Amino acid sequence: MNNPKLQKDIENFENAYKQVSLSVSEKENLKSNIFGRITPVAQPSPFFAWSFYLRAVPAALIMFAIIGAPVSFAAERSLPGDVLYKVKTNINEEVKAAFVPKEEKNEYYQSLLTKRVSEIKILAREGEIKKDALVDFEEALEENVSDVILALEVSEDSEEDTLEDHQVVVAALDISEDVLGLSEETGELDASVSFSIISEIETKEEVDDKDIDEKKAEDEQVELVELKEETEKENDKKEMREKFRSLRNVALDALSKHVEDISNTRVEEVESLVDDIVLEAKEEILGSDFTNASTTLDSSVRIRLEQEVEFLVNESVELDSDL
Amino acid sequence: MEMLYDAYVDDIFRYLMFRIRDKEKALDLTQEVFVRMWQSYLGKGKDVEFPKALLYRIAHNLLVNSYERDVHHSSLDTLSEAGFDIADNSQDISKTIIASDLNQMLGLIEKKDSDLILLRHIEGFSVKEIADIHGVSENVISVRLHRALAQLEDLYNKKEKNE
Repeated sequence: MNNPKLQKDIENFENAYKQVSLSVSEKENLKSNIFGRITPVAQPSPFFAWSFYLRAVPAALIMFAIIGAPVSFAAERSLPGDVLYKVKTNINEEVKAAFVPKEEKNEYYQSLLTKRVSEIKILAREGEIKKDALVDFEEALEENVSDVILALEVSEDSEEDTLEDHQVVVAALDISEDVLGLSEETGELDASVSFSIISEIETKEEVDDKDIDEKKAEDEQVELVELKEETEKENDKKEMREKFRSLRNVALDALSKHVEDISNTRVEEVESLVDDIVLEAKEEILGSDFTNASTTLDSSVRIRLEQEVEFLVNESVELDSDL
Repeated sequence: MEMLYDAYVDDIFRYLMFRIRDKEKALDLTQEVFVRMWQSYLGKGKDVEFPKALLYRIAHNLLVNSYERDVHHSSLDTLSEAGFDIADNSQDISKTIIASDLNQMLGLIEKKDSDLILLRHIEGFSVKEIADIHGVSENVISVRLHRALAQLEDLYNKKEKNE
């Protein structure tokens, strides 16, 4: 705006314009008209809002509707082996997941993994863990691990963050294994104990056939049942250990695939960086005194290349140790 | 909603009044703007980040519809005949506005262009806010605004030359 008169007119117009207003009575009349029209607006029913999620988690939500909120609330404190534990893991947590924004899904599933670990710790502290509890726990854990891995695959987080997340999964599995006494070292011991028990039972059974003394046979029988129970327990443990191992392998596969992706990206990054340096050097050499430039640039380029190589080596060492 | 009404009723009325130039119609449309704000947004519990811009947008849409219905609207110089006697103290103000060169010149350029100049330079909206109100991109508003202002300035220069 270069015309001074136009500028001045705009200012005057603005001042006059802003003083134009409705009188108090006009405002009151208008207000009562408006508020008379707006009060009876129908609010959408809360169930209507739910219908969207009904499509997202149908089974879970229908169960939720049938069983009702009090049950689902009570289920929150349940532990593996409890009747309500499945309500907690299959319904409550799934319904909650449907409300978690996409970008926070991965974090949510990780918090569930941590929850699983603390659940099994509580059970271990209380004493012996029953087979039902183990089965429940293993199912829930398997579900959570695949959820986290799936969420990580579609995650848009930085690679370092995702790497850390993958490690969280493996760590959660390791802790659970430890708590259950299923870790590698004790595992081998357990296996040998289990083997010796089985062979003991076999010999006892042979002996049992030939024994005539009933009382003695009864004692042997009791002992045998106890031993059998123990063996079954050991076998269950073995089964669980195998499940854990396969689960851990799934998590480790996902992790190593991710590490591989990262290292490929790193190599590409370094390669393009080296290209840039060479290009820069060429430009400088061609643009200035050739002999002087080549000696100074040779050393500077070498130093930078050496730094890059060192960086690359460190990166791969770190990545290896992560694996 | 009541706070919104108290804060912006004058702005919305003024906006409509200066464009439709009919006090009764402007009052009706002002009422409609607030009713629609409630029915389409606040009453449904929608979160409105910039209520002022949204009110203007509703007002703008209502105006466009009203223009389509009533093609033969009057120009700014007939404001007084159309009952531009808003508050008691507004008589002198309205005369000042009607008599101003700017008002005459704005009557000579295209309606949508004069609207942009009023929004930007009289009502003080940013280009982005005007783009929101008109429902077009900022670029479109910038270009149109620049062209409208150049046209207005040209009219001023011509008038000065003649004098």
